[in-house]
Amino acid sequence: MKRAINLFFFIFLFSCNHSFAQITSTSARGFANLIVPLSITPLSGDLDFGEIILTGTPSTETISPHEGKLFEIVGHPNRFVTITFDDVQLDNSQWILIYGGNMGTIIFVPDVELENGKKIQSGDSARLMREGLLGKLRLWVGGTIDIAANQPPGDYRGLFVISVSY
Amino acid sequence: MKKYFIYILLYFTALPLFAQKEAQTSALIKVKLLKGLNITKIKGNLDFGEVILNGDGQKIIKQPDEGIEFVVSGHPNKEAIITYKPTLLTQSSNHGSNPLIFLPAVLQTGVNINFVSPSVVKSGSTILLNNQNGIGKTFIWVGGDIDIKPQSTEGNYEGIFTLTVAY
Repeated sequence: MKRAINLFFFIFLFSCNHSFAQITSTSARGFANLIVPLSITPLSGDLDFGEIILTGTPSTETISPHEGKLFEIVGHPNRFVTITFDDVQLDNSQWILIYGGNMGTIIFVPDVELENGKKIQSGDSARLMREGLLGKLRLWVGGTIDIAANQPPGDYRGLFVISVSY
Repeated sequence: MKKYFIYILLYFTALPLFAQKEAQTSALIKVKLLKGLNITKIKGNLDFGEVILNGDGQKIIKQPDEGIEFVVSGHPNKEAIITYKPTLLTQSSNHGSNPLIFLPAVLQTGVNINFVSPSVVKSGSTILLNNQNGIGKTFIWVGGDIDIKPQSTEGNYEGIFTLTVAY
């Protein structure tokens, strides 16, 4: 009877999560490694380039990372996380609905770095530094936009998305 | 029994563990591109013509709708600061002595290109660039007056009147 109950629990666990398949023949304690859930949250700053007056000549505008937005990654101490992000296309579509004129787009190229100044490319890994029971990493995000000579005026907006994973 | 409790505990702790191996957040990127400011003359001039000196002081006046009309264009629904000041008119042959003073009178008619419902624009005040299909515009009219003193001498008097707009 006892063996039957044991078997029942193993089947129950196996059917609920495929990740458990690896432990059916070993001790259940082998995967009870509680990992701090991963999170990334904005702390301060923004990615607002402000007002730029069009002059009819091309220009490049930059927000350096430490003048941009600060994010904090929290997770398991000393675990490596992979950081991914993409370029963002900004457009003035909402603005021209109100005021008229031509639609334009601008590409935002992010510039991401760690607090120690190390540059991060999308897909890079970084270790979460231990702070008490947690692992933490702070990232600064700035970036660059190129404004064309014939760039239509308006309020340009876009959403920068940054992801982290174990 | 203790063993079953551990199995059940593992089940409930393991699910959230595997569900939170990724995280994501986002930030809004903003930039406001402003159309550059322009002032373009539409018509008119500030030529007061010939005045015959009569030995007494006299004031000659040019009404704004008889003077110069400009259009200020820029970013729609954006305010711009307009500045100007009185202008000295001098005779080049007289080394700038005994100048005349031109006191400008500046009015605006908003988006109306015609002189309809004008309002006074003081130097240092703001004007609204009214939206016209993605372009902000305001029409400005400039006239003014010149005080001619009894001792003013005959000759051609000239000066440059400057109107400035800025965001």
